[in-house]
Amino acid sequence: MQLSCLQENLSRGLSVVQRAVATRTTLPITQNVLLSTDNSRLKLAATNLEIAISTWIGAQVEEEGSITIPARLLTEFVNSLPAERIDIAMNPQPLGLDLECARFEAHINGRDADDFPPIPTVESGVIGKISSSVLKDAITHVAFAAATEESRPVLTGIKVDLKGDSFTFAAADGFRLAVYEGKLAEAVSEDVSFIMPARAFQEVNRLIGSDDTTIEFTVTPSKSQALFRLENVELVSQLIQGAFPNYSQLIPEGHDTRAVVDRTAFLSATRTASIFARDGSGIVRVKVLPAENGSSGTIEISSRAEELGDNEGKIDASVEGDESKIAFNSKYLSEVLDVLGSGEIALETTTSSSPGVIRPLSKEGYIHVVMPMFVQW
Amino acid sequence: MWKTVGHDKAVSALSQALTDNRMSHAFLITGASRVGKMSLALDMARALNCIGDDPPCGVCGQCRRVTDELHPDVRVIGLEKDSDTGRLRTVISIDQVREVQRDVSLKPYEGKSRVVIFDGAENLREEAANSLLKTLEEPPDQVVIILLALDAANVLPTILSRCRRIDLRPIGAEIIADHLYRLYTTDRQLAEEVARMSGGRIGWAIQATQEPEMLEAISDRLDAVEQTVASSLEARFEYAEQLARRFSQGRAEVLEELDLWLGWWRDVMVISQGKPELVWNVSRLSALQSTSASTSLSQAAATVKAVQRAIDLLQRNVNSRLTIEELMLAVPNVVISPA
Repeated sequence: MQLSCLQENLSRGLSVVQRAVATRTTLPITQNVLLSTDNSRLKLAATNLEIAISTWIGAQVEEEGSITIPARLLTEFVNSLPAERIDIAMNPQPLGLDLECARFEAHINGRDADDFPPIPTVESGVIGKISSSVLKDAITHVAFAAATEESRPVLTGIKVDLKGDSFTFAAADGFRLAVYEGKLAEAVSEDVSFIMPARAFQEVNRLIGSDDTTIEFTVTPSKSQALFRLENVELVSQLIQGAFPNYSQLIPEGHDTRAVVDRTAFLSATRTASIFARDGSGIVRVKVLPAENGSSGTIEISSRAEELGDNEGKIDASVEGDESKIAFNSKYLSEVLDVLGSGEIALETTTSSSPGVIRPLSKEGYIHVVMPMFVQW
Repeated sequence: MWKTVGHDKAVSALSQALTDNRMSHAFLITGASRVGKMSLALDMARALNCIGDDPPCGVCGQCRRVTDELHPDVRVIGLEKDSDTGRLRTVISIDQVREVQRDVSLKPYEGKSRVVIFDGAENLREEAANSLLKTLEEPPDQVVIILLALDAANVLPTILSRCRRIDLRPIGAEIIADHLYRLYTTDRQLAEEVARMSGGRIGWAIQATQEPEMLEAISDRLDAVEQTVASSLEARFEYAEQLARRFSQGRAEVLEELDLWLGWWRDVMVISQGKPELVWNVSRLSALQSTSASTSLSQAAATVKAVQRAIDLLQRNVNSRLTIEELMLAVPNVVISPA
């Protein structure tokens, strides 16, 4: 292998694949990055056996070839180089890469490319297309609700249902549920459901640039992998096996009280309350008061810390239905309010022991359900 | 081709199960250390992923990746090094089990089956073992879990009942000797001697054949055993103290040394029974003979039991110095006449 490329390009490419480089040492070679020539480009690829990312950068290829190199060492070295041309050549004995840039040169030992776990190629399967901004929005609204601990692996994933030209993403961690319904750019070739690791979706999200483009994805027939094809980047994720809980029955069918508030005001009142909630198991209490003789409806958000003090904030709301009280974990409440854009949101409650529902008025397809906390009022 | 040597019964049963497509999804392989448990488990991993004609073919890409420890779907879980002290931990933690559960929830990366091998199932911490139960009972599709253990008695019954058991017996000395002579040495006499010394543990025999310094170290240790057996209580207690100190630095080495004690007293028993041809430590025949002349069979048997008990207690974290001192008290006084 012999080629030259620009330092900026190589550095950018390495930073793209870096996120798929393994941090665990189960299979030491997964801490390497695979470099291979692909026509007149250099392909960089890394896998942690859950997510594999490949990217292509422009290069002047003199001689074809491939090799794997410790990712961290290569990245740190390349990042430290001046923004000039890098000449790269493979050295057979000892196997490694010789790099030359300006007045710097380095030799990095590597391993045979055949030893590297094959980067999955997804040839056939269900194919669909989605606008990158829609995908980004959906991931942002759902991924944070997935479980992070691994005692129930299915809950660390996002359940994806694709039906015709519409899609549903859902994530739940036992305390909250986020469901996002939206439209694909193009109908899928066949309806399909699968569970994709939330971590993998977050990587897709990170790779989506600011320009709105169309992203093509493919799910293998055995539903073992999903591929997302972005500009010059491909991400393949292993899919999670198992049955995702039937979440539709967790969404309350009706409500007794509905309060419509400004999201930003609600978020800042929640944040204020969470300062006091920090010491009190994170509980914030939300009291919804309907309009009364002339005065408008309000939401009171309060919290107290044993022996330290308490606080209460009020915001205006247009309230339908009865007065209601409900307590939430402040983290769950602020996380969902955080991802919702500015505008009005509706908080729907029934009793203080049944789940609360949050819906942004401007986004019909999104619903967020939070389990209440049991407190003495 | 199955690489496992000397366990034909287990291999043919597994191979049949594979052909009939009725492979279990959880196995417990028990047997003495280095008897071939890991070899069999890796053979199973190859067989389950092989894309050749006669699994495990050993030559296809999948088989080779397993052999080279490069297969992403085949994982061995054992004791980890503590990142702070650099020492080997003594238990398999619940975090390691959780990581496995996360792994097996994903479809195999490149192979047909994910194979998880727990090397030393007796080291599973109780909470780790409990969290593994559900996975053992209903692993996701395309997942096979193989537990390796020295003795089923040290594995939780709830785990035992969820696994198909494979018990590996010590392998006959002739089979080991033939294997060594065929693949590892041209010295027939060495092959036979090592095969006898191995006590049916082929993995040990292969390593000893390849590493002459290992045989030397054993010889030194056996010298120490003989000296201690023939020495005063004071010298024995000094030996106990030294052994206990080494135990706190590295358990495995001391347990190996106690295994030598075990083998040595076993040999004494064998000679007392008039079967010198079954002796493991052939090079020590004269010392063994004079020991057997000055001890009764029941004394030798009691000593074997005492050594076994000491090994067991040490594995259960009983105070190492007290345990070894107690053992030294149990060893009969012997006069070894010079050869």
